[in-house]
Amino acid sequence: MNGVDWRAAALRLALLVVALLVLAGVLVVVFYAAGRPLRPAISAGAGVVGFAMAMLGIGLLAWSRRGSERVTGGTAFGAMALSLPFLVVALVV
Amino acid sequence: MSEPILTATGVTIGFPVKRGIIFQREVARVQAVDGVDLTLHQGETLAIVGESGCGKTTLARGLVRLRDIDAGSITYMGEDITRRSGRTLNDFRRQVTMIFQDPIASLDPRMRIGQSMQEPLDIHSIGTPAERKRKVQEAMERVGLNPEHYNRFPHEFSGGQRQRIGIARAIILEPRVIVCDEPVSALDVSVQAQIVNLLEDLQRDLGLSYIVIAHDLDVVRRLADRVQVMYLGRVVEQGEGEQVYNHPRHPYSKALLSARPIADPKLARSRERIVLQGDVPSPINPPAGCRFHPRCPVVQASCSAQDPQLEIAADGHGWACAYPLAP
Repeated sequence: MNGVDWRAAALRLALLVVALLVLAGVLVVVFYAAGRPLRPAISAGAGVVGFAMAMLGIGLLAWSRRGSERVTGGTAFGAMALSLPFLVVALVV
Repeated sequence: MSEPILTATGVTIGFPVKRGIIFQREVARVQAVDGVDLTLHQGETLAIVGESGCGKTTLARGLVRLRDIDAGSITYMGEDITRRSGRTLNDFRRQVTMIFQDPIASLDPRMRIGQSMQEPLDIHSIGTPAERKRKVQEAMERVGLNPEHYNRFPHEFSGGQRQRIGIARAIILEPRVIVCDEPVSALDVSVQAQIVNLLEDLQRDLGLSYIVIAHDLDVVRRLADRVQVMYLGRVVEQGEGEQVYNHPRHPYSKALLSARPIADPKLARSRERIVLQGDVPSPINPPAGCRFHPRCPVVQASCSAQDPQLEIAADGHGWACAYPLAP
């Protein structure tokens, strides 16, 4: 059995973060184009992504508690942790 | 006997069981094939039998390099092909082809069967487009399909015809070895007989060698010169077909043979039927000692401690059991 492949894990994490940032960016553009001022558009874009990640984390937690072979509590809490910066941005901006 | 055409030594193939999504960690390994040796001679049919999940198909896919092996080596015509890649691997794949179990899943539903059969010729850049079409139609004729059906789609054929298409696709490159992964298990009995006859005819006409993966022991008896019995990723018995069928020495082989349905009800009632207790153990955590001991009808105290290796007698009959059955 092997331990964690840290290089691959870092790459996956970086890809996920970039994907979330791109998604949030696209949402900001969409909201801005729809007529919202910039700051509320940023707030809404980050809020949607943060809320989605938080919900995903709760779902993954339920899944891991049911005894998934693949999904662990760490995965679920990781998703929730990733949602925090987006929710903070949504509230602060 | 002729020189071996395909040899596998200590082939081991496993699948990792991972936990986590970002920080993935391998928590266990399913050892599907564990140190299997086999030798195939020119013009011979070697059958690999065993119950579902024992690693037959994984071994077959490893032998044609459809998946990499973790340990061991595969030699084709004296050359090690275990680590081959690119063009040299393509050369090997031209010589060793495969017939798949499911004739529906192995054909692209959106490709005309002519295109499907021509694809290997395209990949290996054999002939001009006109020659390729002619070769496809010849192969169709050889396997008993109407060459005029070249432009039909897979759904327009019956199960048996689709398996014939799979066979035509396997022989179109004029290989020397064909690995047949349960070639008749998805077909009804009358069609099974036709396909078995076709495989025999092709072997006779083209001098093919077969590795036949099967769990239908009657099909194996008809086709195979030699038989290897697998249990939980390992070969537990091997020998000439008649040796294994008439004088099985491993209790698992005997149980497997006793489970074979017999068409004569009187004979079926009178024969000794061995019903194995329990389920197949998990290949993630196989039992210590002999892997078959938790289900063995003749288990002894020492079986849980010692792991018997395959010992092959002078007549080629081998078994991996510390307390083999009387011949």
